[in-house]
Amino acid sequence: MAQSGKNLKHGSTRQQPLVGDYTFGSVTDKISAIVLRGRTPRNWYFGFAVAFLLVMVLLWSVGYLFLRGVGIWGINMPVAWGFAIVNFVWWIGIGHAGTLISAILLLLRQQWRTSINRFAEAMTLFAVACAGLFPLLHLGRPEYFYYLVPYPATTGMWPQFRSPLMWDFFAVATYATVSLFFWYVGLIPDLATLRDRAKRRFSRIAYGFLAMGWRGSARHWQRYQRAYLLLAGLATPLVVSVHTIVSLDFAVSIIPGWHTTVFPPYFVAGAIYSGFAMVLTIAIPLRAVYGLQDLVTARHLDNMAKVMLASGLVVAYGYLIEAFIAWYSGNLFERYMMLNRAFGEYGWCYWLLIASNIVVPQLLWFRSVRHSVPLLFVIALVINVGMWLERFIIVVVSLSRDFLPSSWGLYVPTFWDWATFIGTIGLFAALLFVFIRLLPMISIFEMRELLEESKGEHS
Amino acid sequence: MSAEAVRETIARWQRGGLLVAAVGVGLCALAATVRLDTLLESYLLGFLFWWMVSIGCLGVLLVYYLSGGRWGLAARPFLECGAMTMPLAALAFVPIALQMDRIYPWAAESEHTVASADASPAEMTSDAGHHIPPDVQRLYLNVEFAQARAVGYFVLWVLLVLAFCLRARRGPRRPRGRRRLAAVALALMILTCTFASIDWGMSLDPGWFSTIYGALIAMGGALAGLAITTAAAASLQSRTPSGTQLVVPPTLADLGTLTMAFLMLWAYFAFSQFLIIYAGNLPEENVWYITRLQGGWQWFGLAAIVGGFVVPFGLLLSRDLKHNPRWLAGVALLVFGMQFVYLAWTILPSFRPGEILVRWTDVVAPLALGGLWTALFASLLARRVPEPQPTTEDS
Repeated sequence: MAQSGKNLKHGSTRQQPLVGDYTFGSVTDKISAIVLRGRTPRNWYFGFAVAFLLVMVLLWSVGYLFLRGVGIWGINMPVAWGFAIVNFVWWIGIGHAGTLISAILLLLRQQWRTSINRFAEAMTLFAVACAGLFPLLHLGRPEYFYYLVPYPATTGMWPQFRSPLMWDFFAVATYATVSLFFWYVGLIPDLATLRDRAKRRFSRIAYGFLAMGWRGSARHWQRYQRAYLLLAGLATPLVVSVHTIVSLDFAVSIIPGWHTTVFPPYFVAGAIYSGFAMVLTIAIPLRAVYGLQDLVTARHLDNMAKVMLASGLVVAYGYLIEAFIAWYSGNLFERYMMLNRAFGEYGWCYWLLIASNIVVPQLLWFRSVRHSVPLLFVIALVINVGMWLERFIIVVVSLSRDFLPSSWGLYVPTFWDWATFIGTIGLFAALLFVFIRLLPMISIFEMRELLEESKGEHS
Repeated sequence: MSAEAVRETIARWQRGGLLVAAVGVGLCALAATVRLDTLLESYLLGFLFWWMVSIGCLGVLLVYYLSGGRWGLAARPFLECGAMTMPLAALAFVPIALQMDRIYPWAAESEHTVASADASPAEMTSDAGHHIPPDVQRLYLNVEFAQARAVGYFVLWVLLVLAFCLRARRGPRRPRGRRRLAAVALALMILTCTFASIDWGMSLDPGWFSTIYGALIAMGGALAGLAITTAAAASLQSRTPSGTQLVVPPTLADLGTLTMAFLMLWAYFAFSQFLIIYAGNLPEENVWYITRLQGGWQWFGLAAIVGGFVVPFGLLLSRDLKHNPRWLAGVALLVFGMQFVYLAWTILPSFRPGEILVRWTDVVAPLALGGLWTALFASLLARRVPEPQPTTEDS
């Protein structure tokens, strides 16, 4: 009977356990030691140094941008949205996996989320931070960004609420706020653990301050659970709404290649796709460097690969239906848009996109591929590139060829476009390095809960 | 004792279905002699709806094979029986396949459009009327190819039903080792379902196009299939004598929650399509909504929004309701019925733009097909429905 109950829960007996052979004490030791006791690995210094260098590149290029204006980028008329919007959509999409893992999988009672949710949430925050930079920089006069806020201004200026760019402002601001709270509330019990275990006075005070007086009493736990579930409920619609609104930035216009009704769900699927690719890109090196193979297990990687495959197929469906309907419609501009995508100036991007977003990920159907960590890492990197290309094609290729041939034009990214983009990758990585150095990257108390539950299962 | 109450209910569904079908088919035969064209319009609506239900059941079943979950234990026999009505849908398609030229403008206007083959691009794109692109008609929207495609779709779907509903009958557990097959099957099913809905629904207005249409139809089908499953499970549960249970109560509530999730997804798809077309306001696209928001048709749309989303969504938020089988069955039936209203709102105005015009066949033909569907569903269910068990404490 117990056997069949176990099968029901996990679907198959072939699956490996979610967590290695640990006790409450040893799992706490293992995770908190990374922050408190273990010597910082040399790789960390090296990685952080590179990331920090790239942050300097970001500051340099943003500084130059402020000095000279957006003319330093490759944008022009008609391609007024260049790398800035491509990168915005790419980064904001990456964040979605973190929210999906932490909120939706929590509500769906999927236990495998437990060891990956913390750093996935951190990834969300840092990705949103990178994303948020771009529209502001793209404003040209970022000091006036507060015009987007509907406040009773004496100037009589009022935001245009019919514009999705306006909705975007609210969506992203809400997303950043809820994600931050969700992440921080989830951290509180672990911050208290670090406070109790810290040896140095400064660490004790710092972690104690952040733990907000957490003592682990039954009442604390009860309130904590309620708040956490509530935040999960708040975060869940955001997984869909944020990228839906990003897709509407494009779809409510009439530019061929932007104006298409499948965009909202297709963007959301794309966001989850790229987000899981990024989670894998981060998780695989992390578990290797810090020896976390028995916390972030092969089964986690397998599950993430499956989610990636599923969302990738939805994205492939989007590409297919876009191409088919463009032909089916008989609409001259729609048809030209598809032909131009595939065979125009930027055609090579399109085929690279098909290869990296559709062809390569089909390898994930095979169990042996999902269980080969290096291969999985490479596939995740390929998908990251592919999803970036997708946004490049949507933004740049569509704008470069609109209705009037007399206003056609090409976009060529400049040095500053690349520098800003690479700089945000550095910012993302640097924040991540700081995070794993200072905070527990895996939720300690949730791992203890998981141990307790899996113990009950085996008895 | 308790098993008999359940069997009796299922037998009543079967008898009721057959009765409705007999009366409905008789009336349809009468209508066929008077106005065949109108009957065909109504029949198409009925076919599309019950096909959506069947394919929706199959889709949700495949999702269960992939994801697992407690809800599926209760839903599986109902979903299987719903999917196994697929041969009925295939048979019901035969009259449509034979009468395509009376239903679809692209099948009727084969000569008309040849003349417009050399129309200028401006004409092709600016005119919102039935301008069928000649190459689309030559290569895709023609009777022979449409019939061949339909055969292909149904062969695939029936094969999927055979693979997933017949073989793995025994035991309450999710059959193991078929996840990859289910994944492939689901992908193929969504793809064929998309093209089928373009062929049978979207092409009623050639020249109108929406990339989300196929996904919206598939989602509507999944919602309708899940709603009828929930309704059937809940109403059988409410008829089991006290002290026994057919479905563990939390599982029933899970079905209610899942119905709500599907409802939200469906509304999300439907609203996305509307918002994007509304905001773009291009003549070749907005004409579809303009037709449906004029002359009285707008009340159908409003009913679909209020009765098909707002009310059931509000009700399904309640935890108490989801634990009450009678109420849950009622709300699930509302969701199911309003999917029909929504489909009628999307299909009928294509035939009758302008003034609202609902003929009596629009009700009778879908009811006749629905009677057949219900009778078949009930007769399959009688053999698969689990025995009611004594109520256990830990439920």
